[in-house]
Amino acid sequence: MSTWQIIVAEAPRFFTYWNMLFLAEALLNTLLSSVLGCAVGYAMGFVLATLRLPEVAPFAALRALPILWVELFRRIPFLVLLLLVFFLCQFLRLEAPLWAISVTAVAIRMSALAAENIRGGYESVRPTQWDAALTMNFPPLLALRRVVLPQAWRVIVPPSIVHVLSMVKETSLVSQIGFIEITFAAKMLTQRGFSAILTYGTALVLYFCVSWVLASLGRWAERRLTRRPGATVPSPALL
Amino acid sequence: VTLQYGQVLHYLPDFLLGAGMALWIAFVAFCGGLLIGLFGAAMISYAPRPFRWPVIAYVRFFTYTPQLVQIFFLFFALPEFGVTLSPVVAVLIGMTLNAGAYLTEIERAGFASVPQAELDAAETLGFSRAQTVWYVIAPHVIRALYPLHHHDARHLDGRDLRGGGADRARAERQRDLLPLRRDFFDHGRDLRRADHHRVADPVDAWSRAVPREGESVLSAWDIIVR
Repeated sequence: MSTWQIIVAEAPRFFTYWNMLFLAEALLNTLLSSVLGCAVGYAMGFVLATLRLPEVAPFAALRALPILWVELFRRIPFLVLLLLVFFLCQFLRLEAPLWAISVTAVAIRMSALAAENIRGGYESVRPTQWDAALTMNFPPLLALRRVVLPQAWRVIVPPSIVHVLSMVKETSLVSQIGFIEITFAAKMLTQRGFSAILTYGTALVLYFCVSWVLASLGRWAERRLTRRPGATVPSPALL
Repeated sequence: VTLQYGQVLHYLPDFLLGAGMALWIAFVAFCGGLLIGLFGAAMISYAPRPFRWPVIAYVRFFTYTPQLVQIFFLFFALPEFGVTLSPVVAVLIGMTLNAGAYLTEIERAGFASVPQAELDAAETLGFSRAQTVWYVIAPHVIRALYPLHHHDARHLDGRDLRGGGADRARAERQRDLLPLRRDFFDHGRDLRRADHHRVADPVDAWSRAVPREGESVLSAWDIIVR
């Protein structure tokens, strides 16, 4: 029998209700760890990026801490970071469940990426906006909330959807510590004797569908947010 | 529990060997990906429509699924088709194909960023096809490999140059273009819209193809460090 005939013969045994339920739970775990991790990471990244603003944190030493954090965790590969969190939990005798470890690792990595992204958004706002707000005696955080953020978020949102997408893909590495997400589920089903073409093929299809939805969302958001009045010519006064 | 570095330090040569292996794989995969990307981007940009679809499908598939699962598929599923790969070969093929997909997207943005006016000018000056590719198209493609738009603006941020003057004006102009910067999605269109500042900027295209610090926008650099 050729490979295809074997697969076709095996398919009804693979696509059963319980196997699909198992894969659906695994998909849910993937989404949980990546989306929850991204949410926490974005909250942390927001704080990190804000602490880097000279208007908010007037001490250079205070600004150095978030820079250190961001530069450190942006450069460590995700797998190494994950194992670091995993073994640190073991070292500290924390009985952390696997999902908490994976969410923590995703959140730490995401905080570094998000901080850079949010910083880019802040810096896309002209410094004159800061000057004007501070001159009118806005406290720095109020100026940030009322003046800078409303202009910065359209720069921040589209890349953040890309970040969520890449995190959904990177959580496949969480299978290495045994958290049952799609990749690990595919591995388990392979070890249970199903054809690797079916199991890993299904995993690829699932990832593809999730990414497709997220990418469409991102494309839509970008199209909506970058629609702005035609490009402005710099005024002669600036030259 | 105490941390004992001595035991780990003993194996330092093994770590270095591993680092060398990582660098070697990254280098090979990146070079292969660059070639695939060049071919794919040229196909998407210039080939007739039916020839583009397989390339687009390839890019979509490899950018929308995790690299790990792609490599697992190559390593565990291909033997069922009678193709058995050694681990290193599976990793190399997987990473090359993956990098190729991302670089296709990036280089496509480079092709799309060549303004029609520059092509017309080249034709008017009697450039040969090779000259057009080398002097007009190549700088755009190479520049697309670096995350320029976003970081240029950050680099020239007004905060550093409150002194004003021409640099300030350039920074302002760059900031105007920020929301149009290159991205994972639809960057071709964005770059094309961002062209007018280049016309105003007399700096030679080649000299501007310098890497800037930082990421957060997908670039060739992300593919190496990922």
